[in-house]
Amino acid sequence: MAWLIFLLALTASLIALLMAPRLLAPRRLTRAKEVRFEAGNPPYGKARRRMVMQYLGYVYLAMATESIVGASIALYLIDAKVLWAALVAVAAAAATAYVAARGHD
Amino acid sequence: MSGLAAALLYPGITAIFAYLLVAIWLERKLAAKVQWRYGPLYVSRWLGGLLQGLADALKLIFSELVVPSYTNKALFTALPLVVFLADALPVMFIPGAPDLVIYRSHYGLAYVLVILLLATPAIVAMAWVEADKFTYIGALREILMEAAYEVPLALSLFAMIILYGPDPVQAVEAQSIPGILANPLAFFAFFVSAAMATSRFPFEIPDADTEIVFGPYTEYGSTLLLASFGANYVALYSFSLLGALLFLGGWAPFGGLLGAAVMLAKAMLLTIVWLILRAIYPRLRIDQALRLGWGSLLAISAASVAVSVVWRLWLG
Amino acid sequence: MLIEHIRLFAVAVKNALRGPITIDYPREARDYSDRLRGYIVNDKERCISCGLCEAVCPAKAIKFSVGPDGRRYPGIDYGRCIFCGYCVDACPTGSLRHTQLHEVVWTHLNTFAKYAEGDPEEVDGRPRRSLL
Repeated sequence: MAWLIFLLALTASLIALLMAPRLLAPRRLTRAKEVRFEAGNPPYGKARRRMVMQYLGYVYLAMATESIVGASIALYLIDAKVLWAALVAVAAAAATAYVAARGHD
Repeated sequence: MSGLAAALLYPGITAIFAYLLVAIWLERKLAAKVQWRYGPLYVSRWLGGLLQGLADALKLIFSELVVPSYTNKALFTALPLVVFLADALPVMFIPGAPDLVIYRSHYGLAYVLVILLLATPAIVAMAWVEADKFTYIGALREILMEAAYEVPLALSLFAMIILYGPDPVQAVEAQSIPGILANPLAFFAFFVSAAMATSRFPFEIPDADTEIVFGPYTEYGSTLLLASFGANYVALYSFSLLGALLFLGGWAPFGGLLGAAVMLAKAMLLTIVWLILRAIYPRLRIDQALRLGWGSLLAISAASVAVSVVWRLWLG
Repeated sequence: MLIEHIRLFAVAVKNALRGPITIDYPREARDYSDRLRGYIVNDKERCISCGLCEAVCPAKAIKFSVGPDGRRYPGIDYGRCIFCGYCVDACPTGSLRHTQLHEVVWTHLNTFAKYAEGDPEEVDGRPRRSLL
Protein backbone atom coordinates (compact mmCIF):
# COMPACT_ATOMS: atom_id res chain seq x y z
CA MET A 1 0.00 0.00 0.00
CA ALA A 2 2.90 2.30 0.80
CA TRP A 3 4.07 2.25 -2.80
CA LEU A 4 0.70 3.56 -3.97
CA ILE A 5 0.87 6.37 -1.41
CA PHE A 6 4.42 7.13 -2.54
CA LEU A 7 3.47 7.28 -6.21
CA LEU A 8 0.33 9.34 -5.56
CA ALA A 9 2.13 11.80 -3.31
CA LEU A 10 4.98 12.16 -5.78
CA THR A 11 2.62 12.70 -8.69
CA ALA A 12 0.53 15.12 -6.66
CA SER A 13 3.53 17.18 -5.66
CA LEU A 14 4.77 17.25 -9.25
CA ILE A 15 1.38 18.33 -10.56
CA ALA A 16 1.20 20.99 -7.84
CA LEU A 17 4.60 22.14 -9.04
CA LEU A 18 3.25 22.33 -12.58
CA MET A 19 0.07 24.17 -11.60
CA ALA A 20 1.75 26.71 -9.32
CA PRO A 21 3.11 28.99 -12.09
CA ARG A 22 -0.23 28.84 -13.91
CA LEU A 23 -1.86 30.35 -10.84
CA LEU A 24 0.90 32.62 -9.64
CA ALA A 25 3.03 33.62 -12.59
CA PRO A 26 2.16 36.30 -15.13
CA ARG A 27 1.18 35.14 -18.61
CA ARG A 28 2.20 37.44 -21.38
CA LEU A 29 2.99 35.41 -24.44
CA THR A 30 4.92 37.20 -27.13
CA ARG A 31 6.14 35.95 -30.46
CA ALA A 32 9.72 35.86 -29.23
CA LYS A 33 8.83 33.53 -26.38
CA GLU A 34 6.93 31.18 -28.63
CA VAL A 35 9.62 30.45 -31.18
CA ARG A 36 12.35 27.89 -30.91
CA PHE A 37 15.38 28.89 -28.88
CA GLU A 38 18.42 29.44 -31.05
CA ALA A 39 20.67 31.45 -28.78
CA GLY A 40 18.90 34.70 -29.58
CA ASN A 41 18.84 34.31 -33.36
CA PRO A 42 15.64 33.88 -35.34
CA PRO A 43 15.25 30.15 -35.90
CA TYR A 44 16.22 28.83 -39.29
CA GLY A 45 16.29 25.42 -40.89
CA LYS A 46 15.29 22.16 -39.33
CA ALA A 47 15.92 21.41 -35.68
CA ARG A 48 16.68 17.77 -36.39
CA ARG A 49 19.45 17.86 -38.90
CA ARG A 50 21.63 15.08 -40.18
CA MET A 51 24.09 13.88 -37.62
CA VAL A 52 27.29 11.93 -38.06
CA MET A 53 26.89 8.24 -37.46
CA GLN A 54 30.48 7.87 -36.32
CA TYR A 55 29.51 6.56 -32.87
CA LEU A 56 26.46 4.58 -33.88
CA GLY A 57 28.54 1.41 -33.57
CA TYR A 58 28.72 1.90 -29.83
CA VAL A 59 24.95 2.17 -29.56
CA TYR A 60 24.55 -1.00 -31.56
CA LEU A 61 27.19 -2.70 -29.43
CA ALA A 62 25.39 -1.59 -26.27
CA MET A 63 22.11 -2.96 -27.59
CA ALA A 64 23.61 -6.34 -28.37
CA THR A 65 25.71 -6.67 -25.21
CA GLU A 66 23.02 -5.33 -22.93
CA SER A 67 20.51 -7.90 -24.11
CA ILE A 68 22.92 -10.74 -23.30
CA VAL A 69 23.89 -9.29 -19.93
CA GLY A 70 20.27 -8.54 -19.05
CA ALA A 71 19.14 -12.00 -20.06
CA SER A 72 21.95 -13.56 -17.99
CA ILE A 73 20.95 -11.57 -14.90
CA ALA A 74 17.30 -12.47 -15.40
CA LEU A 75 18.14 -16.16 -15.84
CA TYR A 76 20.32 -16.10 -12.74
CA LEU A 77 17.51 -14.48 -10.76
CA ILE A 78 15.02 -17.12 -11.93
CA ASP A 79 17.29 -20.04 -11.19
CA ALA A 80 20.55 -19.62 -9.31
CA LYS A 81 21.84 -22.93 -10.69
CA VAL A 82 22.50 -21.42 -14.11
CA LEU A 83 25.18 -19.13 -12.65
CA TRP A 84 27.93 -20.75 -14.68
CA ALA A 85 26.07 -20.52 -17.97
CA ALA A 86 25.23 -16.91 -17.17
CA LEU A 87 28.87 -16.19 -16.38
CA VAL A 88 30.07 -17.73 -19.61
CA ALA A 89 27.53 -15.69 -21.58
CA VAL A 90 28.49 -12.47 -19.82
CA ALA A 91 32.21 -13.14 -20.23
CA ALA A 92 31.80 -13.95 -23.91
CA ALA A 93 29.67 -10.86 -24.52
CA ALA A 94 32.05 -8.58 -22.61
CA ALA A 95 35.11 -9.97 -24.38
CA THR A 96 33.48 -9.63 -27.81
CA ALA A 97 32.35 -6.09 -27.02
CA TYR A 98 35.80 -5.16 -25.73
CA VAL A 99 37.49 -6.44 -28.87
CA ALA A 100 34.86 -4.90 -31.14
CA ALA A 101 35.17 -1.54 -29.43
CA ARG A 102 38.97 -1.63 -29.89
CA GLY A 103 38.49 -1.83 -33.63
CA HIS A 104 36.18 1.18 -33.55
CA ASP A 105 37.49 4.69 -33.79
CA MET B 1 2.89 2.50 9.67
CA SER B 2 6.56 2.16 8.85
CA GLY B 3 5.54 1.82 5.21
CA LEU B 4 3.75 5.16 5.43
CA ALA B 5 6.77 6.76 7.06
CA ALA B 6 8.97 5.31 4.33
CA ALA B 7 6.71 6.65 1.59
CA LEU B 8 6.22 10.13 2.96
CA LEU B 9 9.38 10.83 4.96
CA TYR B 10 12.51 8.80 4.36
CA PRO B 11 13.49 7.46 1.86
CA GLY B 12 10.33 8.84 0.26
CA ILE B 13 9.01 12.24 -0.78
CA THR B 14 10.31 14.50 1.98
CA ALA B 15 13.82 13.08 1.76
CA ILE B 16 13.79 13.41 -2.03
CA PHE B 17 12.93 17.10 -1.97
CA ALA B 18 15.23 17.80 0.98
CA TYR B 19 18.02 16.01 -0.88
CA LEU B 20 17.36 18.16 -3.95
CA LEU B 21 17.82 21.29 -1.87
CA VAL B 22 20.91 20.05 -0.04
CA ALA B 23 22.60 18.47 -3.06
CA ILE B 24 22.31 21.55 -5.26
CA TRP B 25 23.58 23.73 -2.41
CA LEU B 26 26.38 21.29 -1.65
CA GLU B 27 27.45 21.14 -5.27
CA ARG B 28 27.68 24.91 -5.53
CA LYS B 29 29.35 25.23 -2.15
CA LEU B 30 31.93 22.50 -2.75
CA ALA B 31 32.88 23.84 -6.16
CA ALA B 32 33.14 27.32 -4.62
CA LYS B 33 35.37 26.12 -1.78
CA VAL B 34 37.73 24.35 -4.14
CA GLN B 35 37.87 27.45 -6.33
CA TRP B 36 38.60 29.74 -3.33
CA ARG B 37 35.19 31.39 -3.41
CA TYR B 38 32.40 31.73 -0.86
CA GLY B 39 29.60 30.15 -2.86
CA PRO B 40 25.95 30.83 -2.07
CA LEU B 41 25.72 32.82 1.13
CA TYR B 42 23.23 35.62 0.69
CA VAL B 43 20.00 33.78 1.47
CA SER B 44 19.97 32.38 5.01
CA ARG B 45 23.45 33.37 6.07
CA TRP B 46 23.16 31.50 9.34
CA LEU B 47 22.82 28.24 7.40
CA GLY B 48 25.66 29.06 5.04
CA GLY B 49 23.28 29.86 2.20
CA LEU B 50 21.47 26.54 2.30
CA LEU B 51 18.12 28.06 1.48
CA GLN B 52 19.40 29.59 -1.77
CA GLY B 53 17.91 26.62 -3.60
CA LEU B 54 14.54 27.32 -2.03
CA ALA B 55 14.79 30.95 -3.10
CA ASP B 56 15.62 29.84 -6.64
CA ALA B 57 12.66 27.47 -6.62
CA LEU B 58 10.36 30.25 -5.46
CA LYS B 59 11.68 32.49 -8.21
CA LEU B 60 11.02 29.75 -10.76
CA ILE B 61 7.48 29.20 -9.46
CA PHE B 62 6.72 32.87 -10.02
CA SER B 63 8.17 32.94 -13.53
CA GLU B 64 6.06 32.44 -16.60
CA LEU B 65 5.53 28.93 -17.89
CA VAL B 66 6.15 29.22 -21.60
CA VAL B 67 4.97 26.33 -23.75
CA PRO B 68 6.17 26.96 -27.30
CA SER B 69 3.49 26.66 -29.94
CA TYR B 70 5.45 24.43 -32.31
CA THR B 71 5.74 21.53 -29.86
CA ASN B 72 3.27 18.93 -28.71
CA LYS B 73 2.06 20.86 -25.68
CA ALA B 74 0.79 17.93 -23.63
CA LEU B 75 4.01 15.97 -24.07
CA PHE B 76 6.11 19.06 -23.53
CA THR B 77 4.61 19.61 -20.08
CA ALA B 78 4.24 15.95 -19.14
CA LEU B 79 7.67 14.59 -20.00
CA PRO B 80 9.72 16.50 -17.39
CA LEU B 81 7.41 15.05 -14.77
CA VAL B 82 7.89 11.59 -16.28
CA VAL B 83 11.65 12.04 -16.10
CA PHE B 84 11.39 13.11 -12.47
CA LEU B 85 9.16 10.14 -11.66
CA ALA B 86 11.43 7.69 -13.46
CA ASP B 87 14.42 8.96 -11.52
CA ALA B 88 12.52 8.79 -8.22
CA LEU B 89 11.09 5.30 -8.75
CA PRO B 90 14.21 3.31 -7.70
CA VAL B 91 13.78 4.79 -4.23
CA MET B 92 10.67 2.62 -3.92
CA PHE B 93 12.75 -0.54 -3.75
CA ILE B 94 15.70 0.71 -1.71
CA PRO B 95 15.26 0.42 2.05
CA GLY B 96 16.36 3.35 4.17
CA ALA B 97 16.51 1.26 7.31
CA PRO B 98 15.63 -2.38 8.13
CA ASP B 99 11.88 -1.75 7.99
CA LEU B 100 11.74 1.53 6.13
CA VAL B 101 11.08 0.23 2.66
CA ILE B 102 8.32 1.46 0.42
CA TYR B 103 7.89 -1.68 -1.66
CA ARG B 104 9.49 -4.82 -0.32
CA SER B 105 10.42 -7.07 -3.20
CA HIS B 106 12.68 -10.07 -3.41
CA TYR B 107 13.98 -8.83 -6.76
CA GLY B 108 14.43 -5.22 -5.67
CA LEU B 109 17.94 -4.74 -7.05
CA ALA B 110 16.91 -5.99 -10.48
CA TYR B 111 13.99 -3.56 -10.56
CA VAL B 112 16.27 -0.72 -9.48
CA LEU B 113 18.72 -1.52 -12.27
CA VAL B 114 16.00 -1.62 -14.90
CA ILE B 115 14.39 1.64 -13.75
CA LEU B 116 17.74 3.41 -13.57
CA LEU B 117 18.47 2.39 -17.15
CA LEU B 118 14.99 3.46 -18.28
CA ALA B 119 15.39 7.03 -17.06
CA THR B 120 17.54 7.89 -20.09
CA PRO B 121 14.85 7.07 -22.68
CA ALA B 122 12.57 9.45 -20.80
CA ILE B 123 15.16 12.22 -21.04
CA VAL B 124 15.69 11.48 -24.74
CA ALA B 125 11.93 11.61 -25.34
CA MET B 126 11.81 14.93 -23.51
CA ALA B 127 14.62 16.36 -25.60
CA TRP B 128 13.00 15.05 -28.77
CA VAL B 129 9.67 16.70 -27.99
CA GLU B 130 11.37 20.02 -27.27
CA ALA B 131 12.59 19.96 -30.90
CA ASP B 132 15.40 22.45 -30.71
CA LYS B 133 18.89 22.19 -32.14
CA PHE B 134 20.53 22.10 -28.73
CA THR B 135 18.14 19.57 -27.24
CA TYR B 136 18.61 17.43 -30.32
CA ILE B 137 22.37 17.33 -29.82
CA GLY B 138 21.77 16.79 -26.10
CA ALA B 139 19.48 13.85 -26.84
CA LEU B 140 22.09 12.25 -29.10
CA ARG B 141 24.75 12.68 -26.44
CA GLU B 142 22.40 11.25 -23.84
CA ILE B 143 21.90 8.17 -26.01
CA LEU B 144 25.64 7.76 -26.50
CA MET B 145 26.31 8.20 -22.78
CA GLU B 146 23.80 5.51 -21.96
CA ALA B 147 25.54 3.28 -24.50
CA ALA B 148 28.78 3.94 -22.60
CA TYR B 149 27.61 3.23 -19.06
CA GLU B 150 24.76 0.75 -19.17
CA VAL B 151 26.76 -2.46 -19.56
CA PRO B 152 29.33 -1.61 -16.81
CA LEU B 153 26.50 -0.54 -14.49
CA ALA B 154 24.58 -3.75 -15.13
CA LEU B 155 27.71 -5.86 -14.65
CA SER B 156 28.73 -4.15 -11.41
CA LEU B 157 25.24 -4.64 -9.99
CA PHE B 158 25.28 -8.23 -11.25
CA ALA B 159 28.49 -8.74 -9.27
CA MET B 160 26.79 -7.47 -6.12
CA ILE B 161 23.70 -9.59 -6.81
CA ILE B 162 25.94 -12.67 -7.04
CA LEU B 163 27.51 -11.70 -3.71
CA TYR B 164 24.45 -10.65 -1.72
CA GLY B 165 21.41 -11.81 -3.65
CA PRO B 166 18.80 -9.63 -5.33
CA ASP B 167 16.92 -8.61 -2.17
CA PRO B 168 18.08 -5.13 -1.07
CA VAL B 169 17.01 -5.69 2.55
CA GLN B 170 18.97 -8.91 2.84
CA ALA B 171 21.94 -7.34 1.07
CA VAL B 172 22.83 -5.47 4.24
CA GLU B 173 22.58 -8.52 6.45
CA ALA B 174 24.71 -10.46 3.98
CA GLN B 175 27.55 -7.93 4.24
CA SER B 176 29.95 -9.21 6.86
CA ILE B 177 32.51 -6.81 5.43
CA PRO B 178 31.34 -3.75 3.45
CA GLY B 179 30.92 -4.34 -0.25
CA ILE B 180 33.52 -1.72 -1.10
CA LEU B 181 36.18 -3.91 0.54
CA ALA B 182 34.74 -7.21 -0.68
CA ASN B 183 34.57 -6.05 -4.28
CA PRO B 184 36.34 -2.72 -4.86
CA LEU B 185 36.26 -3.23 -8.63
CA ALA B 186 32.47 -3.36 -8.61
CA PHE B 187 32.39 -0.21 -6.52
CA PHE B 188 34.68 1.57 -8.95
CA ALA B 189 32.61 0.53 -11.96
CA PHE B 190 29.41 1.50 -10.13
CA PHE B 191 30.85 4.85 -9.10
CA VAL B 192 32.00 5.82 -12.58
CA SER B 193 28.90 4.59 -14.38
CA ALA B 194 26.68 6.39 -11.86
CA ALA B 195 28.65 9.55 -12.55
CA MET B 196 27.97 8.97 -16.25
CA ALA B 197 24.28 8.27 -15.65
CA THR B 198 23.66 11.41 -13.61
CA SER B 199 26.04 13.49 -15.77
CA ARG B 200 28.46 14.32 -12.99
CA PHE B 201 31.43 16.22 -14.10
CA PRO B 202 33.95 14.43 -16.23
CA PHE B 203 30.89 13.08 -18.06
CA GLU B 204 28.71 16.17 -17.97
CA ILE B 205 28.42 15.77 -21.71
CA PRO B 206 24.66 15.78 -22.43
CA ASP B 207 23.96 19.09 -20.68
CA ALA B 208 27.31 20.74 -21.29
CA ASP B 209 26.27 24.32 -20.66
CA THR B 210 29.34 25.82 -22.28
CA GLU B 211 28.72 23.99 -25.53
CA ILE B 212 25.03 23.32 -26.10
CA VAL B 213 23.29 25.79 -23.76
CA PHE B 214 21.64 23.25 -21.47
CA GLY B 215 21.36 20.13 -23.59
CA PRO B 216 18.05 18.31 -23.12
CA TYR B 217 16.73 20.96 -20.72
CA THR B 218 17.24 23.96 -23.00
CA GLU B 219 13.62 24.87 -23.77
CA TYR B 220 12.34 24.60 -20.23
CA GLY B 221 11.73 27.42 -17.83
CA SER B 222 9.76 27.92 -14.67
CA THR B 223 8.87 24.79 -12.68
CA LEU B 224 9.37 22.55 -15.69
CA LEU B 225 13.06 23.39 -15.45
CA LEU B 226 12.88 22.52 -11.77
CA ALA B 227 11.33 19.13 -12.57
CA SER B 228 13.53 18.24 -15.52
CA PHE B 229 16.85 19.46 -14.16
CA GLY B 230 16.05 18.42 -10.58
CA ALA B 231 15.50 14.90 -11.91
CA ASN B 232 19.28 14.62 -12.31
CA TYR B 233 19.75 15.11 -8.61
CA VAL B 234 16.92 12.72 -7.80
CA ALA B 235 18.76 10.13 -9.88
CA LEU B 236 21.86 10.96 -7.85
CA TYR B 237 19.80 10.36 -4.69
CA SER B 238 18.78 6.93 -5.96
CA PHE B 239 22.35 6.10 -6.88
CA SER B 240 23.78 7.29 -3.58
CA LEU B 241 21.23 5.29 -1.57
CA LEU B 242 21.97 2.25 -3.72
CA GLY B 243 25.72 2.74 -3.31
CA ALA B 244 25.39 3.19 0.45
CA LEU B 245 23.27 0.05 0.62
CA LEU B 246 25.45 -2.21 -1.50
CA PHE B 247 28.95 -0.94 -0.92
CA LEU B 248 29.10 0.94 2.37
CA GLY B 249 27.12 -1.50 4.48
CA GLY B 250 23.78 0.30 4.54
CA TRP B 251 22.47 0.93 8.05
CA ALA B 252 24.95 -1.47 9.65
CA PRO B 253 25.99 -1.61 12.45
CA PHE B 254 22.79 -0.05 13.79
CA GLY B 255 19.10 -0.56 13.28
CA GLY B 256 15.95 1.49 13.60
CA LEU B 257 16.15 5.28 13.52
CA LEU B 258 19.87 5.42 14.17
CA GLY B 259 20.35 2.99 11.30
CA ALA B 260 18.37 5.29 9.00
CA ALA B 261 20.56 8.21 10.02
CA VAL B 262 23.72 6.16 9.42
CA MET B 263 22.52 5.10 5.99
CA LEU B 264 21.67 8.68 5.09
CA ALA B 265 25.10 9.81 6.28
CA LYS B 266 26.77 7.18 4.12
CA ALA B 267 24.65 8.22 1.14
CA MET B 268 25.63 11.85 1.72
CA LEU B 269 29.29 10.87 1.89
CA LEU B 270 29.00 9.22 -1.52
CA THR B 271 27.09 12.24 -2.80
CA ILE B 272 29.85 14.58 -1.69
CA VAL B 273 32.42 12.61 -3.64
CA TRP B 274 30.20 12.67 -6.73
CA LEU B 275 29.56 16.37 -6.39
CA ILE B 276 33.16 17.42 -5.79
CA LEU B 277 34.06 15.85 -9.14
CA ARG B 278 32.68 19.06 -10.66
CA ALA B 279 35.56 21.01 -9.20
CA ILE B 280 38.21 18.45 -10.08
CA TYR B 281 37.79 17.17 -13.61
CA PRO B 282 37.44 18.84 -16.98
CA ARG B 283 34.70 17.62 -19.30
CA LEU B 284 35.59 14.69 -21.50
CA ARG B 285 34.73 14.51 -25.17
CA ILE B 286 31.97 12.09 -26.08
CA ASP B 287 34.37 9.72 -27.84
CA GLN B 288 36.69 9.70 -24.82
CA ALA B 289 33.75 8.80 -22.58
CA LEU B 290 32.66 6.05 -24.97
CA ARG B 291 36.17 4.67 -25.20
CA LEU B 292 36.41 4.69 -21.41
CA GLY B 293 33.06 2.96 -21.06
CA TRP B 294 33.83 0.25 -23.59
CA GLY B 295 37.48 -0.10 -22.60
CA SER B 296 38.75 -0.06 -19.06
CA LEU B 297 35.34 0.35 -17.41
CA LEU B 298 33.94 -2.70 -19.21
CA ALA B 299 37.06 -4.69 -18.32
CA ILE B 300 36.87 -3.62 -14.67
CA SER B 301 33.19 -4.43 -14.36
CA ALA B 302 33.69 -7.84 -15.99
CA ALA B 303 36.56 -8.47 -13.57
CA SER B 304 34.29 -7.46 -10.68
CA VAL B 305 31.88 -10.26 -11.65
CA ALA B 306 34.83 -12.65 -11.54
CA VAL B 307 35.82 -11.33 -8.09
CA SER B 308 32.30 -11.98 -6.84
CA VAL B 309 32.37 -15.51 -8.20
CA VAL B 310 35.69 -16.14 -6.47
CA TRP B 311 34.16 -14.91 -3.18
CA ARG B 312 31.18 -17.19 -3.70
CA LEU B 313 33.42 -20.19 -4.35
CA TRP B 314 35.59 -19.39 -1.36
CA LEU B 315 32.68 -18.87 1.01
CA GLY B 316 30.78 -21.77 -0.50
CA MET C 1 47.65 6.76 -13.75
CA LEU C 2 45.73 6.19 -10.53
CA ILE C 3 48.24 8.31 -8.63
CA GLU C 4 47.40 11.22 -10.91
CA HIS C 5 43.73 11.01 -10.00
CA ILE C 6 44.51 10.78 -6.30
CA ARG C 7 46.68 13.87 -6.65
CA LEU C 8 43.79 15.68 -8.34
CA PHE C 9 41.57 14.90 -5.35
CA ALA C 10 44.32 15.92 -2.92
CA VAL C 11 44.71 19.29 -4.64
CA ALA C 12 40.95 19.82 -4.49
CA VAL C 13 40.81 19.05 -0.78
CA LYS C 14 43.83 21.25 -0.12
CA ASN C 15 42.21 24.13 -1.98
CA ALA C 16 38.90 23.61 -0.22
CA LEU C 17 40.61 23.93 3.15
CA ARG C 18 42.48 27.07 2.19
CA GLY C 19 39.50 29.38 2.49
CA PRO C 20 38.24 31.94 0.00
CA ILE C 21 40.30 34.72 -1.53
CA THR C 22 37.23 36.52 -2.81
CA ILE C 23 35.47 39.01 -0.58
CA ASP C 24 32.11 38.56 1.07
CA TYR C 25 30.85 41.13 -1.38
CA PRO C 26 28.03 43.29 -0.16
CA ARG C 27 29.41 43.28 3.36
CA GLU C 28 33.11 43.61 2.59
CA ALA C 29 34.99 45.67 0.07
CA ARG C 30 38.15 44.86 -1.77
CA ASP C 31 41.02 47.06 -0.63
CA TYR C 32 42.78 48.35 -3.70
CA SER C 33 45.68 50.72 -3.09
CA ASP C 34 45.13 54.50 -2.87
CA ARG C 35 46.35 54.70 -6.44
CA LEU C 36 43.15 53.15 -7.72
CA ARG C 37 41.74 55.15 -10.60
CA GLY C 38 38.22 55.22 -9.29
CA TYR C 39 35.30 57.56 -9.63
CA ILE C 40 36.49 61.12 -10.36
CA VAL C 41 35.31 64.09 -8.28
CA ASN C 42 35.82 67.77 -8.93
CA ASP C 43 36.50 70.31 -6.22
CA LYS C 44 34.47 73.30 -7.38
CA GLU C 45 36.43 75.72 -5.19
CA ARG C 46 39.66 74.97 -7.00
CA CYS C 47 38.33 74.46 -10.53
CA ILE C 48 39.33 77.31 -12.85
CA SER C 49 37.21 76.08 -15.81
CA CYS C 50 40.30 75.94 -18.05
CA GLY C 51 38.97 73.08 -20.20
CA LEU C 52 42.23 71.11 -20.26
CA CYS C 53 40.48 68.00 -19.02
CA GLU C 54 37.96 68.19 -21.84
CA ALA C 55 40.76 68.68 -24.37
CA VAL C 56 42.84 65.76 -23.13
CA CYS C 57 40.05 63.24 -22.67
CA PRO C 58 40.64 60.44 -25.22
CA ALA C 59 37.11 59.09 -24.88
CA LYS C 60 35.45 62.50 -25.23
CA ALA C 61 33.62 61.77 -22.03
CA ILE C 62 34.04 65.21 -20.45
CA LYS C 63 31.65 68.01 -21.36
CA PHE C 64 31.47 71.38 -19.67
CA SER C 65 28.19 72.81 -18.52
CA VAL C 66 27.13 75.85 -16.59
CA GLY C 67 26.73 75.41 -12.89
CA PRO C 68 24.37 77.24 -10.52
CA ASP C 69 26.94 79.96 -9.86
CA GLY C 70 27.32 80.81 -13.55
CA ARG C 71 30.74 79.21 -13.97
CA ARG C 72 31.42 76.22 -16.16
CA TYR C 73 32.31 72.89 -14.64
CA PRO C 74 33.35 69.59 -16.22
CA GLY C 75 30.94 66.68 -16.07
CA ILE C 76 31.93 63.14 -16.93
CA ASP C 77 29.73 60.81 -18.92
CA TYR C 78 30.51 57.48 -17.30
CA GLY C 79 29.02 55.69 -20.25
CA ARG C 80 32.12 56.81 -22.15
CA CYS C 81 34.78 57.25 -19.47
CA ILE C 82 37.60 54.72 -19.61
CA PHE C 83 39.14 55.76 -16.28
CA CYS C 84 42.51 56.51 -17.89
CA GLY C 85 43.19 59.37 -15.49
CA TYR C 86 44.47 61.81 -18.15
CA CYS C 87 42.10 64.54 -16.95
CA VAL C 88 43.37 64.19 -13.41
CA ASP C 89 46.96 64.43 -14.65
CA ALA C 90 46.15 67.40 -16.87
CA CYS C 91 44.30 69.39 -14.21
CA PRO C 92 46.57 72.38 -13.42
CA THR C 93 45.08 73.13 -9.99
CA GLY C 94 44.53 69.58 -8.86
CA SER C 95 40.82 70.08 -8.49
CA LEU C 96 39.97 66.83 -10.28
CA ARG C 97 41.01 63.75 -8.36
CA HIS C 98 40.34 60.03 -8.26
CA THR C 99 38.56 58.49 -5.33
CA GLN C 100 38.57 54.91 -4.06
CA LEU C 101 35.02 54.40 -5.29
CA HIS C 102 34.50 52.01 -8.13
CA GLU C 103 30.94 50.86 -7.63
CA VAL C 104 28.77 53.94 -7.97
CA VAL C 105 25.09 53.62 -8.71
CA TRP C 106 22.88 56.46 -9.81
CA THR C 107 19.30 56.51 -10.86
CA HIS C 108 19.37 59.10 -13.58
CA LEU C 109 21.70 59.49 -16.53
CA ASN C 110 22.13 63.23 -16.10
CA THR C 111 23.10 63.13 -12.44
CA PHE C 112 26.78 62.89 -13.20
CA ALA C 113 26.94 63.46 -16.93
CA LYS C 114 26.61 67.16 -16.26
CA TYR C 115 28.90 68.84 -13.75
CA ALA C 116 28.90 66.85 -10.56
CA GLU C 117 25.63 67.67 -8.93
CA GLY C 118 26.13 65.35 -6.06
CA ASP C 119 29.28 63.49 -5.25
CA PRO C 120 28.69 60.11 -3.64
CA GLU C 121 29.84 59.40 -0.12
CA GLU C 122 33.49 58.51 -0.22
CA VAL C 123 33.66 56.36 2.85
CA ASP C 124 31.48 53.42 3.61
CA GLY C 125 31.72 51.50 6.84
CA ARG C 126 32.57 48.20 5.18
CA PRO C 127 35.70 46.33 6.20
CA ARG C 128 38.29 46.28 3.46
CA ARG C 129 40.34 43.26 2.54
CA SER C 130 43.28 43.25 0.18
CA LEU C 131 43.89 40.52 -2.35
CA LEU C 132 47.29 39.47 -1.03
